Amino acid sequence: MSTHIPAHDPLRALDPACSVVVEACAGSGKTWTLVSRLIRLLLDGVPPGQILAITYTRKAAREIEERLLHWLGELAVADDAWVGEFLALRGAARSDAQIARARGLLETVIRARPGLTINTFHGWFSSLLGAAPLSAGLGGMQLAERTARLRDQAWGGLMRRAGRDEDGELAQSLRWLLNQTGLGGTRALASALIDRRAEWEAWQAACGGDLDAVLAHLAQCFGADGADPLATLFEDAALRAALAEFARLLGQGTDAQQRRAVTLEKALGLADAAGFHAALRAELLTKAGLPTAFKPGRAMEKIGAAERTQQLFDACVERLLCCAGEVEDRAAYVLNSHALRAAVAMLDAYDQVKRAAGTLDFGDLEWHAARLLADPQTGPFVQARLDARYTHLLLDEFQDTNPLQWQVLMHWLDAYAPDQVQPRVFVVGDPKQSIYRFRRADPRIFAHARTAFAERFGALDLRRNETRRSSPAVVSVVNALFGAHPVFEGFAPHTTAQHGLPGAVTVLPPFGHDSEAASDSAAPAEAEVRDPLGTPRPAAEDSRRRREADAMCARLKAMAGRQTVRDPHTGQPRAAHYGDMMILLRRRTGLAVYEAALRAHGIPYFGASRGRLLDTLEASDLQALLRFLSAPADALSLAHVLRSPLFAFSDTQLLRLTGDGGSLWGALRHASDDAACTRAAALLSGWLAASVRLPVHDLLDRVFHQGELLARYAATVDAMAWPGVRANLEAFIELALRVDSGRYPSLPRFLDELSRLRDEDDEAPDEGLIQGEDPARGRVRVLTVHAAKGLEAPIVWLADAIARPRADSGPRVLLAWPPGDPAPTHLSLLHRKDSLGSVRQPFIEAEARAAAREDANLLYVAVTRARQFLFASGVSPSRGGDADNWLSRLAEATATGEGGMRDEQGGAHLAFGDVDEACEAPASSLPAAPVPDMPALPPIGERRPALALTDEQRWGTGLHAWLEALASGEPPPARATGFDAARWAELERTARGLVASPALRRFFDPAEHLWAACEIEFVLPDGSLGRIDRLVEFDDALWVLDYKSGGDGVHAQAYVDQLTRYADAVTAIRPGKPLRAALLRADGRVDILI
Amino acid sequence: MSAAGLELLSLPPGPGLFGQVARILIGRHGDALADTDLLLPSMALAQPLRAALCAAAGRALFMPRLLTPDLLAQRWQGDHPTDPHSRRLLGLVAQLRRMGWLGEADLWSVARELIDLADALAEVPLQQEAELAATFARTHALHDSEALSLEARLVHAVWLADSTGTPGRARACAQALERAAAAATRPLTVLLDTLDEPPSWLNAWAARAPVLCLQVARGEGDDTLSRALAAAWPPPGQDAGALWSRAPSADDAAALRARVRLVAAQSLEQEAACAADTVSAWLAAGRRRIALVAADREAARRARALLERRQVLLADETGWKLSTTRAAATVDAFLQCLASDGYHRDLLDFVRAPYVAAGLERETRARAVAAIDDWVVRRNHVDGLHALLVDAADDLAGGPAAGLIALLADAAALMPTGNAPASFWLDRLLAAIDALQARDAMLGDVAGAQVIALLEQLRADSQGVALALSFADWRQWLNGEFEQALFRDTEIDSPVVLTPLAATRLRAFEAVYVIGADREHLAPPRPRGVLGHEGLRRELGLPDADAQATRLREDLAGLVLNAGDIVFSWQAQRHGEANLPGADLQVLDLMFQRAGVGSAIEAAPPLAEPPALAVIGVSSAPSLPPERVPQKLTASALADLMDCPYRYFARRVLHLGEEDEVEETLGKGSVGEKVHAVLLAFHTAHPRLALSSPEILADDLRRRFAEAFAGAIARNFQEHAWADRLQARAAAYVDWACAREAAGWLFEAGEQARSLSLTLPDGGALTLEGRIDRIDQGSGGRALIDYKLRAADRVKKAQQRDDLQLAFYTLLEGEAVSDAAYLALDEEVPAELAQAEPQVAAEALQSLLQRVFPALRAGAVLPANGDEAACQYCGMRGLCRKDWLA
Ligand code: SF4
Repeated sequence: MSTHIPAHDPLRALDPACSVVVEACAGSGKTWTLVSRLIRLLLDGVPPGQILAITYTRKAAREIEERLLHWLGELAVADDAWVGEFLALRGAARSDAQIARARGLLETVIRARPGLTINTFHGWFSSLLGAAPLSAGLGGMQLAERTARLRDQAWGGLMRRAGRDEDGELAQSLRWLLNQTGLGGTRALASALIDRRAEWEAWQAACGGDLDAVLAHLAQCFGADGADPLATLFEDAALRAALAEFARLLGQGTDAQQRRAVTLEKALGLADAAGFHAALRAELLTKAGLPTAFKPGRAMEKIGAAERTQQLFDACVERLLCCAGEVEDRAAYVLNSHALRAAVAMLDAYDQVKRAAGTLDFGDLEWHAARLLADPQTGPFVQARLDARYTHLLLDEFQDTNPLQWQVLMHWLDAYAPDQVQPRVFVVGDPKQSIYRFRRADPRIFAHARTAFAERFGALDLRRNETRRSSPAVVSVVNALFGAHPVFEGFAPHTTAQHGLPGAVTVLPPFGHDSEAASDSAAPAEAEVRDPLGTPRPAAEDSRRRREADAMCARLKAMAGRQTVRDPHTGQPRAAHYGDMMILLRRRTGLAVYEAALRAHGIPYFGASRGRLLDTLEASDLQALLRFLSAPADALSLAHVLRSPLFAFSDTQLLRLTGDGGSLWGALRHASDDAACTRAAALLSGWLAASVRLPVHDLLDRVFHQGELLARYAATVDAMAWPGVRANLEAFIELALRVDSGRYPSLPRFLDELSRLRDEDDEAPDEGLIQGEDPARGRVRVLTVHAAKGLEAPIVWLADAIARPRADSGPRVLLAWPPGDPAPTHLSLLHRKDSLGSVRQPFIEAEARAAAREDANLLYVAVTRARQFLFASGVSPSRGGDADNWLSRLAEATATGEGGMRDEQGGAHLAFGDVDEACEAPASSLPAAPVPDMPALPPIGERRPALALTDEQRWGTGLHAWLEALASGEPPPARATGFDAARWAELERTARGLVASPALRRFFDPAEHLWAACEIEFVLPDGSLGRIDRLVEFDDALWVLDYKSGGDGVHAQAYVDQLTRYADAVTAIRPGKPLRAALLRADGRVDILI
Repeated sequence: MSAAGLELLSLPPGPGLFGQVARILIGRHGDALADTDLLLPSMALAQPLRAALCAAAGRALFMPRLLTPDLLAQRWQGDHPTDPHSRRLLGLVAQLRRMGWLGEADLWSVARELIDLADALAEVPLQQEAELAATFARTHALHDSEALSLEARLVHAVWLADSTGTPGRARACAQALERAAAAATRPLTVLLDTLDEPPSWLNAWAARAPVLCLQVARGEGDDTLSRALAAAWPPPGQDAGALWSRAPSADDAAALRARVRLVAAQSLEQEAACAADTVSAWLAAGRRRIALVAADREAARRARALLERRQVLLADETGWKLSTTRAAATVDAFLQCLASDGYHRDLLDFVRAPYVAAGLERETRARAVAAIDDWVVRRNHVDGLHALLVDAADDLAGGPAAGLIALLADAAALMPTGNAPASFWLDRLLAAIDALQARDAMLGDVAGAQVIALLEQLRADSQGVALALSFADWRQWLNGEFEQALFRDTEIDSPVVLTPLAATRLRAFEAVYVIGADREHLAPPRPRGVLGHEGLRRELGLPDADAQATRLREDLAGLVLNAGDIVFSWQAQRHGEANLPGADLQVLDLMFQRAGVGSAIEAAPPLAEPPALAVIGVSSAPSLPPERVPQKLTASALADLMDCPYRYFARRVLHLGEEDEVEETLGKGSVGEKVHAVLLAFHTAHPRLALSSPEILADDLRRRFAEAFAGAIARNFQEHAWADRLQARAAAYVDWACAREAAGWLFEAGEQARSLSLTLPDGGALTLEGRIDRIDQGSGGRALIDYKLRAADRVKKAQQRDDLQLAFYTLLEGEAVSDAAYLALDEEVPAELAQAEPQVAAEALQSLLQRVFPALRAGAVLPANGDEAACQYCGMRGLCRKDWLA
């Protein structure tokens, strides 16, 4: 043990001998630590194949790999001092031996088989599945990333199944659901288990095996198997007594109280439970199910019953509420009994669809991985097949792990035989940055793992609260913000290694309505209707957001080229450029307004483009074009294309083409007087013809080329937007390449696939990345907070900071799975927020707590992206919003942070260090992209359609083959294509006849000649080539034979010429003997030509 | 040279290779060259070899006989039978099914894996089952694993079947070569392009005639390039120490560096453009023999398209899966149509397929396709092949579309309906292709001809296999065959070849561009599945991962040494993730750095800007010539006008509607129509509700709803959603209606068409047209009701967005109207949402119309000013170009 390192030493995390769990705050250099540990392991001689590193996204995995290889590359060629320093920084010895070893690591890693594994959980799971035994039945399964279509098919299957048996249980359940929750609700409920496949299986197993067991369990849990709550209420003597007393007392009170007393007494006299309940509810609860107002008042005080009546009222209300809860629980059970039945059937249908398509989805991946590893037979099998008995496990972003992944991990560790070396683990993550609840991440697992690994591997508990990123200004706001936040339990104040980094936090007051704009679009007088030609419909929300966006853009613009920032790489002061700025949004709503403002201010930016490629106008232009090419009668698509820059028709031109009411395409083709129309008609006709056979990618390439598409788009959009438009056009063509090079391409299928892609949340194609930026200028990045995880910037602007988090809503699975438990402790379906009942209250509250914590985490992630300058802004909500929102919390924290102050409008500001140093903006240095000055090339290559062989040629070729085989003593040639057995036999007879014929025998029987060769090739000094069918040497002469299958007289002269050439060649190679040449005909005749 | 025996000679790779081979051949055989055989790894090497021989001899010369192992095996195949792949597959699947060991697994893919494995083992001597099982257990270090011994058993079974039964292709080939060797008389020279052991059949040959193996392998390196390259990539078998200790001289490194460029691109487009530019520049500089090595096929395809724009055609040696051709897609479109029972999207894909009904003239065909499209939408045909074939044929009779449908009907009728053997399925499919009049057209192009040939081949190969397959099963098998068959466009003849890395072995090029040289594409293949275990592979004598990696590196080394200039490029990021260059390239670059000549990695040149054109303006504020100003206005047209004048222009002036689409489930629109019809019939049947009891009325209404939806429910169970809900609420509706009647509103009429002509101040006319859902008569006037199949709050929201529908109806109906309201029906109890002061609203509307339409005639523009809500689902976004308007 390296005892010389004290436990709090940060380098302890790198010690290969220790298992550690590191909780590391934002900016503390998690990747640095992880990759450094990898290097320490390698230095220690751990074979790369024994290392498994898992992180959360593929992007992160690639980054780790890149960093590792980059460092190893540097180590391989750097001088001793550099390598020594590198090692020392990471707590490794600087010895010569160590340096030599460090230099060799790159090649060690590259050559290792099996190699070092850096993967995501999903990637790792899919390699586990790939190693499954044949008997597991997973062979040939492909991972389907897109499942919307499969789900559609499954739903169709489910409906057909229900329709076949209208009276069956499934059909009845579905009808119940359809009636209660509508089509959308039913589908959502029925599909709810698809994304929770693994949890469901675990839950089902825990309940005892099947749906009935689950329902029995739930019935008990919801009290649905007990007595009817209304009946119990009806028979509740205590309640009756209390009500009677209450009524009696009230009877002595005010008029209203007396009226109440009468009603209650009447209720007590009712004979049916339901009526009794309804009457009480009506009297004691509001419509929304809350207690009505009750004040004993003077009247009761007077008779000394104030306290008693209040007591009685409260007791009755409580009993009633309790009953309401029980009723709701029963209702929840009924819903679950129907919905789970439907959901299980849907799961079944979905499985069938997937099996038919040979695909697995992500849920299956986890589930099968868990199954494989949990099985005592297949678990070790998979390890053995992968040849992977890791001795070191590194787990990154551990706060994003979900319960199932944790299970799989545990199964994997359990598969280590007790006599095997137990692995060391390295866990790093930050529960404060857990923002993937919607992907089922459970940050509680982090704390659980800390204990579990401490017990199992003696893992040390390390906590890092020092950031290497942010200025003290940002850190002090972070501390004020989260130190005081109740849901942020366990927060330890951060420190920063950037002691001297200047910085500032500015919180702008909320933006309200523009007073001027309001008077501008003053509502027209009552009776007046808006004139749509002159006045657009007024939009309330927009004007506030527009003002916020304007203020933001103005501020950012003012900073570009003027505000001094420290370069993140060199640490040197320089003027900020747009590339230093990042705009963060909680959600996409309103995004268009921010982007429009950026454009209007002339600020270059990268859009928050995830998944939006197909929604951009330029991509929709291309889709319209393809739609038209696939269905020329589609006039709207044609009009769209004509309006796009490709043809840039004006509205007037469209008016003219649609004048006669005929088809637009017809009108276009006949409008020969207009040059634009002629061009469009010609190009479109050409593409229409090409579209039938060309793959979509090649078709699009033609469109780009012949339509001068890029140039025309460039001439249409402004310079600011052009790089983005271009990137999208290119991304579209890349998409076509990818989508359409699959199995069975066609234009309609491609278009179907695009519309499907558009609807897939996760897999919708991204916008293109803008290339070739001037680094001195850069672009502002606009990102959602989720997308910004792992990124940083000197200047961060958190916009829309008053927006409320999206509440969990709609049909979903309610799940409780305590970390470390092998199975969930509760799983049921929830339809809506109302009628929650009482049994599930704790789970729902836990969900709400987790949501609140995640919301705070999201803010933590947003704020900690900033190195130096942080801004926050938001718009005041239209209706009395919540006072507790990000902006107000930030304003509070900024005002109370060190040196912070509040301004009158509700904003706040805090600064650290000299934030106003002046700095010269470097000159923009964008090198103009060279227009390649290609000398004109002659056309290269040509298409030569293969000519089908004529029958005669085929016969000739066959004859050659036979004669050669017979002459050289080889087996008969294989039957050539184009011959049936009979004709081939005829050919054989002919060949054999020739060989044996008296006239020819001497050419084929080795006994009758000195030497012979078949199909012999020769080359002449000039490089020309020939092939002689048969060359035979006799004592007196050399014979050149040419087999000829055609009729007489054809090309006679050509044959003579060719044979003469052959003869000359042979004479040149084998001088000395006279040379004869002959044509051998199929009928056995020999024409001696020379 | 005469003595039999096997001699192994090692030659260094490089441009001098063939010269050396030629000198050796001439030196050994002189004039007897023609009596020897020369075995080349591929025929692509024959041409340079001939030239080298000719040059070495300096005179005319007979060539040795040039062969490849495949060609030699073919000559010795004789009439020994082989079991074609497709047939083996069917047989094995039949067997696996019988055994039932593998449960629900996809047997096709298991069987494919096992057959590949038998092929891989074709040259490995057969082991006993127990012995093999022991090998499995030993290499996996896993005992008593049932799963593992099952695999050993399966492997053994296919292996045994292959070696004792009719052999598969790989084994047949090996056996033919053994036969050739056993009859050998001529001296043989073999050129080996990998470092694998010479195959064993050569020993048999060597026993009868001399055999010379020329193995191309890098040695110490005696020239600058090979020395520098050896420092980066030590030749195999040498224990070379770490890169640090292998530093070459700066001169050597610089010489290599001058020939190699490593280019990092930022996107596919940039990489492809760089490739196309580089190749063009080489061509312009007079280079010819150029290779574009397609490590990444997609990037290569993009580069090829860019080169074709410049009229540079590439000879494609890579080959594509036959399944990626339009010809295969056409066959599949037909099968898919059957599989999905005429699902409309599959049908529309099918009728657009090329080749089908090739006789039809293009225009006619386009009209036929359009007619079918139109029919599908009109009929709302979702699926149902039989109904389609019958009804469409009827409806479209006489037009060009009928012919197309008839072809499909004929072809579909040919296909079996139950299980059948593969050969029978194929026979029917070929007949169906004839019936579709597609065969000749398919034979007319390369891919089509290959598809037909494949189908015929498969039919022949699967003859006599009794395994009966369902349609889905057979299709899966066929898909597998289409995936496996390679399509190569052989018609292009060009000095620039597009080729895979392995095919460049020993070939010399003037310049080479390797596209997609990243770590993912430039990596040794990773075997998975049964033979994925390294230890097992080694035990069985199969190449392990190390051998594969060595082979890859040697291929790269050979390429570098054989090419005048070489560029490797890759995309430094893909899908937003870092993408590293191939590992060997990283080491190569580090060698440059170690030698002090600097990294060779450069950024790809930025993409060129397109030529500048004059600014193209976009405007979306049309004004109309007076004669195009509409003279009719409906309520929904008015709504368009209010939402956005440009949308009104596009829809109501240009008459561009969104294409109707097939509704796979009843849309709101169709449900609404049904509900309107039911309510009208109900009220017409019961003009005075008070005359019946509410129970009877509710029953009647329920029955009417049930009838209206019965058909839809039979087609799709989910239509219960509205049907059940409406029935459940029938009583509430009746209660509401009775109460209304009791309050004095008597039902008068429903679904009333009205029209009203307005004379406008400029003398123009405007006719308002509309259909009023319901009119009630009360004591103080008439009440208009408009049914909305929505929840009350949604209706209310719409009402607040200056909605003019009720005003419009009031105007139509005239002064008698005293009340107007929406009735929201998607509520437990119907909810009325009334228009405040309908007559005032109608007047305001009238005055608006009197201003707007004359203004339009006077040239007022129709601006694109929809707000976010209007634009969200607007189909005219592509026309108004709002996204780009400032
Ligand atoms: S997208 Fe918006 S602006 Fe354009 S036509 Fe439609 S509603 Fe009008």
